[in-house]
Amino acid sequence: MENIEIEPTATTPKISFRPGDGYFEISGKSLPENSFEFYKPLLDYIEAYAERPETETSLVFKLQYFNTSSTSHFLRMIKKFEKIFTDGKDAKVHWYYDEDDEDMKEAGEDFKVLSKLPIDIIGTQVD
Amino acid sequence: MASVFDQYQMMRTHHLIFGYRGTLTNDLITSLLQLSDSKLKELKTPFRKKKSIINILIECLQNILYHSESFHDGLFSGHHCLFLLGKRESDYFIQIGNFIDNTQMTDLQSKLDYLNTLDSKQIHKMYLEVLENGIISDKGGAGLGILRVMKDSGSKIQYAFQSIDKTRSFYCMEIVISEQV
Repeated sequence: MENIEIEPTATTPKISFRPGDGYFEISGKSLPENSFEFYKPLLDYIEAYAERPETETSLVFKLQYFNTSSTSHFLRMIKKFEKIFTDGKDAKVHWYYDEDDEDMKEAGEDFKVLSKLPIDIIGTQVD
Repeated sequence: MASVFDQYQMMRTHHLIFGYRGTLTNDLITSLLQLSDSKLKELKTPFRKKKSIINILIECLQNILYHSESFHDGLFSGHHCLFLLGKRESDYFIQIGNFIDNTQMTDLQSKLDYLNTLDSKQIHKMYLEVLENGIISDKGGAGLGILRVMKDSGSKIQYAFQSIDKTRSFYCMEIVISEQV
């Protein structure tokens, strides 16, 4: 599979998917006008990856802001990686948040409640 | 020219930080969010509160753009709204208004009345349920957006409908971002 690198805009996040490394990162702001249009191809891509995943897979979120329609797509994404995990491979979410940003921490905790996939919630200091 | 001063005094008396009246586009929403962010930083708003206000604005403004009635008003046609951000003592408030079709009014009203009976734990529980299942069956539906607004504000939504004509009303909403947020 080819890597996917999408540069961020004012309303869409930076996407860095490197399937050969089992590494999938979403960072920045996610407020797309049409979240289905933005995330559908990425979800299809992840589904194809989940057919033959690497031994270790990481889904990394480093977000500042997102709208609720993006949240639904993040959960769909997490559910696709959850399948890799329940099939016996190593898959994990790394949910980064700015230590001042309790809201983002809670968003990570919400996904933890809704998924069997291990989710590490990691506070970082942002200048 | 005296009216300019009157407008200035009116904004001051009503504790308004800034406001916008007109049609919405995605680019405009991005600009309004940036402006809100810098005004809140200027007022040294605590991070958590600033984040909640921006989250609420994202949901409210995008909701108007995607779901409100589009119509022609004088020079412009599109999704018209009024949006005001203000601060009374330590509480911030967002007042927002848009046109809706009268046929949507009853449903919206019963939804808001029901949500206003719930406490913050119940709102969070319903938010997770809607996030997971996409729909909520218990006592009618609720969109994820409005649940997030209530979750982030930590307060009830005050609302009113101003009748315009037989087909349309102006839907006004005030969201107070409470002290505990």
